[in-house]
Amino acid sequence: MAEKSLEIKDLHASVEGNEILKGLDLCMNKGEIHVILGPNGSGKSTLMNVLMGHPKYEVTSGTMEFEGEDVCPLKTFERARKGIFLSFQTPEEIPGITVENMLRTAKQAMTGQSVKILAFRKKLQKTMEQLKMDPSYAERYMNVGFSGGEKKRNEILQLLMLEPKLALLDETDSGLDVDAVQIVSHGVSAFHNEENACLIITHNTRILKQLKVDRVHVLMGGRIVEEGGAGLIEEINRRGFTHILDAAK
Amino acid sequence: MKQEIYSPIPERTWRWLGVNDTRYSLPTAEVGSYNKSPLAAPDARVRAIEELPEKFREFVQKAENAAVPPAAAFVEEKKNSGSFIEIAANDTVETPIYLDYILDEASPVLVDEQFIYARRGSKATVVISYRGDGAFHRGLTRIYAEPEAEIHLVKVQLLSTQTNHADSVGVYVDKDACFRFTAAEPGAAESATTLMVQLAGDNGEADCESLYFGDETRSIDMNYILRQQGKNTTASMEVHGALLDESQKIFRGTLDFQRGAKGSVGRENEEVVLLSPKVRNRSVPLMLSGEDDVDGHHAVSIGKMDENKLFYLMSRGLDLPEAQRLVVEAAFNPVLERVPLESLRAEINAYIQRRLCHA
Repeated sequence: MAEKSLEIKDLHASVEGNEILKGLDLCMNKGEIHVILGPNGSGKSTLMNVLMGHPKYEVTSGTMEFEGEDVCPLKTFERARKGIFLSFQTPEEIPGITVENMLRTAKQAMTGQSVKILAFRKKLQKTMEQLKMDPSYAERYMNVGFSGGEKKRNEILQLLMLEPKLALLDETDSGLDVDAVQIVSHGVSAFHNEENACLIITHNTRILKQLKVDRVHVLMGGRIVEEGGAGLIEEINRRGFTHILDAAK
Repeated sequence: MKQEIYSPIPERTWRWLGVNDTRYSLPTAEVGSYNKSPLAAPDARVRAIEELPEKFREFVQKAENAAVPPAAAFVEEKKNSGSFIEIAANDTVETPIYLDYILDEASPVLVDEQFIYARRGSKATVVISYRGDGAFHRGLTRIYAEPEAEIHLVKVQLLSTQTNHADSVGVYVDKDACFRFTAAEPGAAESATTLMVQLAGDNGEADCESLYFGDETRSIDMNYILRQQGKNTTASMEVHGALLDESQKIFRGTLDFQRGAKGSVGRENEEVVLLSPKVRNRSVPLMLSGEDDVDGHHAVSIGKMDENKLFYLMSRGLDLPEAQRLVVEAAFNPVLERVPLESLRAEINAYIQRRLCHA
C-alpha cells in the first residue's frame, strides 16, 4: 500500500478574520503529482501558505498531516526541515546574500550538517547547467535584478538542491515564456521520484506536459469541489470552471 | 567633570529630541605611550605625524572642518601615535596602505592623528583598523585630495565592550577629485564618529558607505556631513545598521548644498533593522540647500524585519535567529565588500556573527 505524503482534513483557515479555506480535504501519496486548478481568488495560494505556516494565516480547524505527523503546531522552519518546500509565486529579493550562500546556509539548516564547499559548488554548477542558468548567477544577490523567469528558475534550482520530500509549486510557470516553462517542467521532472510528491498550482497546463499527473483537484470557494484524473485538465481547458461550479450548486 | 560637545548637528532642532549634539566627558585615563608600529611593513609613503612639514599646515587646516574643536585639540595635544601619508602625483598605489592599531594591557589608550595628502592624479586606499581591549581610543584623520586624486579611506573598529571609541574624519576634496569612505565600526562600548567632507572643487565626488551594529547596552553616535560647494559635485551616503537588546544609536546625516554648487547631486539613505523592542533609534536625515539648481534625495528606513522576507528564509529551513543573522549579514555585505583586505573582512564578519549568536 502506498505511503501517504500529505493528508488534509476539513481545513479551515483565515487571514485577518476572513475565512478563505472552508473545509478543504486533500490526500496524496508519495510518488504522486497532484494539480490544483481553480479560478482566481479561490484559495489556492492561501492553501500553499497555510501548508508552509505563514504567520499571517490562522488555521481555525481541521488537520494537516505530513507523512503521518500533524504539522499544524510546527513553525515554518520546522516544516521545511521535515521536508516541505514551497516554490513561491513571488520570490523575495534578498540583497547582500548570494544565491550560493543562501543555498549553502539553507542546506546546512535542513540537514543539520556542515556542507562541503567544493562538492556543493560542483553540484550547484551542474544543476544550474541543467536549468540553463548562467553560472555567474550563483554569485549574484538572491533574486536581485532577476527577471520574473529567472526568479522562477531560481526557485526550481533551490528545489533540486534542497531535495525536499514534498514540493509545493505555487504558479511556478506564471510569467514564463514557452522555453522557460519547458526548462522548469524538466526541472520538476528531474526532482520527482517515488519517494517524494508534488502539489502544483497552475493556470497554464504547459508545465504539466513533461509530468505524469496522478490527480487533479478543482478548488473553488475554499473547498475542493471536483476531483479526477489527468483528463480533468483537458475538460477544464475546454469548458472552463463554470460547469463545475454549476454542478457543485 | 569637563564635558565636550562631540557631534553638533549643522542646524539645531528641538532640544527635547536630544539630537543636537552629544556631550562626552573628556577621558580621564592617562594617555601613556603607544610604542607599537601600526604598519605591517615599512612604507616610504608613511611617516610619523611629527614629521609633517610645516608647509602642509595650510592643507591640514583646510581639512580641519570635520574636527570639532575640543576633539581636535584633545587629539593634537595628547596624541601618542599617528602618521603623515603622502601619495605622490599620478602615483597609483595598488596595495592598500594598512595601519593596524591594537589596544591591550600594555597600551590601553590610543590617541592617533593621521594626515593623508593625496597629490594630483594619485590613487590610493588607506585602511585603518582599531582592535583589541583597552580604555579608550580618540582619533582624528584629515585628508587633502588635490585635483583628480582618488582616495579611499577604510575605517574598521572592532574594539572590546570595555573600550570607548571616538573618531573624527575631515576631508577636503578639490576639483575632479574623488573621496571614498567605508566604515565598519561595530565594536566598543560607546562609539562616537564624525565624518565631514567638503567637496570644494567642481566635479568633486564623495561616496560614503558604513555599517553600525548595536547590542547589549552599547551607544552609537554618528554625525556625517557632506558639504557640496563646487559645481556638479556628487555625494552619496549609504548607511546600514542593526540594533539589538537595549542598544541605542543616533545617526545624523547631512547633505549641505552650498551657494554655487550648481548641478550637484546628493543622495542619502539609512536603513536600520530593529531586532528588539527595547532599542532606542534616532535618525536625523538633514538636507540643507543654499542653491536652487541641485538634486538631493534622502531616505530613512527603520523597522522590524520584513515578515515576508523572514517567511521566505524560514521556508528554507532557517530558524528565526538564523534568518535574522542572514538578514543582518545581507544588509552589511555591500559595505563589507568595500573592505579591500580579505582577512580583515572575514574578521569583521566573524566579530558580528559572534555577537549575533550571543544575542
